Amino acid sequence: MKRWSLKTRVALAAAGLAVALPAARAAQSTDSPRWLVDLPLLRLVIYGSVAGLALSVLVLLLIWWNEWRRGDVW
Amino acid sequence: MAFVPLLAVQPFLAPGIAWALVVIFSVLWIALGVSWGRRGSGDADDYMLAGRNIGLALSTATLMASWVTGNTTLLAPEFGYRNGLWGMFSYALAGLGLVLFAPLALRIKTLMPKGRTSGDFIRLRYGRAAWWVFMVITAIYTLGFLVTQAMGAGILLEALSGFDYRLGMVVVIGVSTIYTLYGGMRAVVGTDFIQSLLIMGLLVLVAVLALQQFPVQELHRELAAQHPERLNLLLPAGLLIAWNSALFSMGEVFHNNIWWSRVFSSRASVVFASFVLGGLAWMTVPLVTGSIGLVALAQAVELPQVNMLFPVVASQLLGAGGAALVFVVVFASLTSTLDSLLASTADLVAEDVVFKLLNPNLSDAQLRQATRLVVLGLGLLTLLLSWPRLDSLASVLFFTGALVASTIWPVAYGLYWPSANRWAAIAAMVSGSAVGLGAYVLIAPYCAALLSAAVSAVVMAVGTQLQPERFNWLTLKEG
Repeated sequence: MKRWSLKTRVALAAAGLAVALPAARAAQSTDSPRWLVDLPLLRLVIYGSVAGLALSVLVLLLIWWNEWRRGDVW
Repeated sequence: MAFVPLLAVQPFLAPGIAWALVVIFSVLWIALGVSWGRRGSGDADDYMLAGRNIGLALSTATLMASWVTGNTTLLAPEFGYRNGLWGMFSYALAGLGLVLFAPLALRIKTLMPKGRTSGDFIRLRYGRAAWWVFMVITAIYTLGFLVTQAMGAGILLEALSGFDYRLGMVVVIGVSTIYTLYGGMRAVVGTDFIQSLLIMGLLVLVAVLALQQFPVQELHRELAAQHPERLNLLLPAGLLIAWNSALFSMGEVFHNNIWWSRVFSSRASVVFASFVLGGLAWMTVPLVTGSIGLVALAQAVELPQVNMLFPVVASQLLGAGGAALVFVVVFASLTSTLDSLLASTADLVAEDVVFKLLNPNLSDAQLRQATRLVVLGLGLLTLLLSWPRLDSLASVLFFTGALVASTIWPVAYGLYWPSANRWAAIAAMVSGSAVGLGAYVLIAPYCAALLSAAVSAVVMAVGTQLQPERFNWLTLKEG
């Protein structure tokens, strides 16, 4: 019998995982595990996302400026 | 991401200020759109795809602006408020759809240098039967997206400024339709650039001002004391919702012509980078707006309706100026999404249905004219369907997660594997959609996209394994 290719096996594994997760969710106990975010991590998430958004604006403007000078915008 | 606006109650902005903002930005978008539309060669490719030569800045910005809908700024805070950090993360993961599409976008650009739509790809790769199935899925999704965005425009403008529902809806659809009609994709991409900068810049401003008023240290202390579960990183439902959100967004991006038209419009050298940058930049938006939801929770802000917490918090912390900023962000988000939907859907209908199906003898000028007529028709159809204000229609869009997720694997397999079988692609889309819809009704909404994608993947892989094809990639060149 012909062996299934690596791509096929990876695709099937991903599909299996997608089905297994909801099943695992249904089967789990009511005592949920907890990992509460501490202050430094919350700071990282919030300030990091604001900084990321500000950086995106800056990067976009810089790219535009560079392309505009070269006449490559459109 | 194609989520749906809900109801709200009190206006946050004086009608005079709201009118002034609407007039200023409407005139600006129309003037710029018409002006940009006059550039270029004037042929169908120029109107539909902005001359296929967009640079990195415009390409990234148009992806970003199209993906930020009114609800990215309004529903993401609600996700943060209701589900805490995982609510924010799950919404942000919708940006993965754009990032993961980047390599496919490059592949599409290489395989289909003359392609115009996602329908072109499905028809050439899998044949007419698969094209019909694909078109039904994309029609349901796109129409649902258009109508809910239009209804959302009316509802949001009413909530923010006290405009009558129909007036707000007519203004937003009218403005988007006018500049798309006259300027085509150039108008859409050009205005998207300014709209994305406005959205991102103003959101940064609101977030910085809000965090100055309510620092993160205080936020953490209140949440840890009053709502510790919102800080729990091991929330099982959160993990599932996050993955469903990622798969839903992958389905939306992989199949919809909004994103394919951006691939065809952009220069080959910038396609990959623009999808990665656009996706990463977009991910920060729901995280920032979701943080506002956490602030509202920690401050125990009284909310007449939870989906309005962003304008409530902005106006409480920043006064009338905050409400005005939110109004501009929402107006820019709505117009940038509607224009993209109108332009790319018009491309799809004109190219795939009018040209390739009904009248293959259309001249270039006739195709351009047909595309313009479809833009106008779509604008009117959207207006007509949104007129009755059927708030219950909103939930319909969530069903489409099951449909669009079933297209992920047929698109991905079809782009990379010459052996991908056309009948397997049809079966994958049909069975994935059916199982996803069943899961939505019988199990839970957050299982719909997961199971749809999983079943679709299995059917596609097994069908192809049993009956492999030998596809000639050169066939796609004619697209």
